[in-house]
Parts: sequence; structure tokens; C-alpha cells
Amino acid sequence: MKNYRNYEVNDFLNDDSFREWSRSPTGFSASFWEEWLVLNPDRAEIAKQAFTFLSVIQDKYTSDITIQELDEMVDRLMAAAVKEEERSRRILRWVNQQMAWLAVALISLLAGLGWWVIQLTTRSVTDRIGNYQRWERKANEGNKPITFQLSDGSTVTLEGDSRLWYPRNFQHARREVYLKGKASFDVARNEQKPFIVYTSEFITQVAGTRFLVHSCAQEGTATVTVKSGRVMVQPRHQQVNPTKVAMELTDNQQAVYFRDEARMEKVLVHGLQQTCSHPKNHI
Amino acid sequence: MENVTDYQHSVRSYEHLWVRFQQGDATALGELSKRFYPALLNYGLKINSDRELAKDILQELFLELWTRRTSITLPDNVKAYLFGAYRNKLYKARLQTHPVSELNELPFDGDLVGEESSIESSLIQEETRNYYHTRLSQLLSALPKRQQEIIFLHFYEGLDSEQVTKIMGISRQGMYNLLSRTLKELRKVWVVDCTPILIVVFNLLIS
Repeated sequence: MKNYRNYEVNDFLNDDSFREWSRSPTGFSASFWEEWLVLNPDRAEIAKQAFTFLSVIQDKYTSDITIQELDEMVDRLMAAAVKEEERSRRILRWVNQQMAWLAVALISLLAGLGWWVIQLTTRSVTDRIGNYQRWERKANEGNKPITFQLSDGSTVTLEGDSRLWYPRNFQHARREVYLKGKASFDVARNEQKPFIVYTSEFITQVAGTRFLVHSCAQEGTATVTVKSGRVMVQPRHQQVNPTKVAMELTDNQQAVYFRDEARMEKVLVHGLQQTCSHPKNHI
Repeated sequence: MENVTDYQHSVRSYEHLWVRFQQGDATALGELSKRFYPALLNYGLKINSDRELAKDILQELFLELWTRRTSITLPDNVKAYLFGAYRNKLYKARLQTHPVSELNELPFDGDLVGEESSIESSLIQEETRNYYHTRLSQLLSALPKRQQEIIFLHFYEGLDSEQVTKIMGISRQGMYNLLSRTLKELRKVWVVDCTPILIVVFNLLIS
């Protein structure tokens, strides 16, 4: 219990209970202070001074604001706060949406960039792989000729006991095939990609024509016979300097290569030999 | 008209309320406004008698606090903080409509100068409503507005002198100078019976 008997004016001014009494002189601290004033008449003047000062202040600055007025303000504030929340949520949602779109755009951009880079680096790889052609081998072990088509549309008739190596797809600048035995070619025309038939003796180059190559290992001669068109033939041994010995053949002309002499000769033909004369046939 | 001065003094610790408010609890905002609107608006009307403007600025302050709640730290004293913030906004609003020169002329509680308030009568009230009472009231009204504001914040709102200096943006020394100058001026006209209590008030404020 505070000893209010020692209180001076300023002590009363700062005392919560005393201030409460001055604010509401009929409030809960009223009975205590009224009694105290009666019991301490010698200190009553000091307390009265403080009370007067506080009640003057209280009178002077008292509020004329009504509860209705305040309730209305609080209601308006709450409504505004809710609206504000809604607005900031909308903004947040909008921002999130924008971020999402941005993310999608960025990811697509990165994916595109990545794809492009991959394309750029792998294209050279596929190019290199592309240069490496897949080779096929067709062998005709029987006696009847087999006719088939190459990927460029050229037709090959492979005679018996003959073999042809050819790319599944012609990807190089030249259409190159390797022949052992005898085959006739009906070459699809393509000036950009010359068709070349390699045998052990000849390199036969054409743009588009029908011709027959005969290169049987067991025979003393190898021939290239042209049915129609124009064909360049050169013996393989002269590959070092091919232009000089290249032989041009046209319709019904034949290049004969004599194995023993390593000599090539151009002759005219009227009929075409059909098959390799197998060694067995000679026995 | 119902008087609402009483419930503004009932709660002294608002930290828990502030924390809830900062966490986005709308009911905390409601409680904060219910607790502080009466005192704040009363104060605001002393600074700016334009009632609707004072109300609007108060609403604006609370709405701003609400939207910026995550970036505001817990103030040392919620009440003092709100009083200071409201005061700043009121003066900013006044600056927009009044030239600076006029600003200093305006008395605190301008509309109520010399006016007898309508506080409810009681026996003790009647007894003390004597010459002394009237004279003191007149002397207080004659004080420059900044002194009146100090007295209002300290004796009416119960804020200590440190909080008062913070709210009003003045130093302790500034507060002392303001009061001592006024005291000197007023001594010339004061009647003897009022002087002791005003000296007490003065000493209290600068202590």
C-alpha cells in the first residue's frame, strides 16, 4: 500500500489511481479517494490541487467523439483493409502469373537454345556419320541373273556367280559400287552424282546409261560393254594418272582388258555375253 | 452524445496485439483501431479541427500500417508510436493546405479556447469548479500550442516526457527551453494562487 500521506502534488499527478479518479470522479477509485480525503484532512489541500489540475486538463481536452462515430470509422477501416487485402492478393496473383509466364518463356527459350546448340554440335557428327555409308552386299551364287534396284533408282542385273557391294543410300558426291563378276547397269540419270563401277580392272564412270561390266576372275579378259549412252572407262592400274588412259565408250562399244598384258582395247560388239564362264565349264 | 474517454486508458500492453496485427490478423487491426481511435482522433482534433480531415487521415494511417505491416518493427511503445505517426501525417496534410508562416500561429486545441467543456457534473466536480479552476483553465489556454500539446500528451494521455519528446520530434533540451520561456512570460500575468501548481507541472515535465 502506497503511503499517500507523503505525496506532493506532482506525485499525485503521476499516480495511476489518482489520475483514474480525476478522469472519472464517480468511477471505481472514487470511494477510496473520497474516504482518504476525509481521513487525511491535512493532506487534502495538496490532493485537491492535483485533482483540480487534472480535472481542468480533463475538462479542457475531453473528447467529444461518440461511440457511433468511432464504430463507423472502425467498420470503414475494416472494409478498406479487406479490400486492400483482396487487391494485394490480386496483385500477388498477377505477379505470380507473370512470373510463371516468364518462367515458361525462359524455359522454352533455354530449351530452344539447348536444342539449337545440340543441333549445331551433332549436325557435324551426323554429317560425319552420314559420310560413313552403310554398305550392302548382293551375291548371286546361282546361274540365273538377279535384277534389283539401287537407292538412286538405277537398276542392276547381276549375273550368276557375281557380287556387288553398294551403299544402301548414296550419300557421297559420287555413286560408287564395287563389282566382282558380271552385271549390267541401267543408271538413273544424275549429272551431279556420277555413277562409278569399280572392278579389279576398271573404273567405269557414267552419268546415265545402260552398260554391262564383265569382270570374271577366272578369265583372261575383263570387259565393259555399253548398250546406250556414254561411259568413261579407265583401268585401275593407271589410277595414278587416269585422264590419259581413260577410254570413252558409246553405244555398242566394248572395252576389253587383257589381264596378262594389262592392256585395254576398244572393240565394237553386236551381242552381249551373258555369264562368267566358270572354270568348271571348261573342264 | 456518449462520452468514450474512459476505455482508451484500459489496456497498457499492446505488444501481443501488434504481433497479431503484423501476422495479418484482421481482428487485431480491428482491436487496435477500437483501442486507439478514441485517443488518437481526440488528439487529431486538437491539432486539426477539420473533423472529416482528421478522421480521413487517421483511417489512412491505419490502412497504411496494415498494408506495410510486414516491414514495420514492433515499436517500443505502441501508443507513442501511433501518436507520433498520426501527428506527422496531420502536419503533412496541414502543410499542403496552409503556408508555413501560418502554421506556427495555429493554437493547439484552437476551437476550444476559452470554452467551458461539457463534462458530466458530480459533487466534487462542482466543488472544485471555482475561481481557481477557471483561472487555471484560462492560463492553460493562453499557453502556446506546443506547451499545450506537451501538457495534453503528458497529463491527459499519460505519456511520459521521453515519449512526448519523441512524438513531437523535439529534444529534451528543446522541451525544457519551450517551457521555461513560457513560464517566464506567463509569470507576469499569473495570479499568485496558480503559480505553485504550474511550477510543479513544469518541474514534472523536465524531470
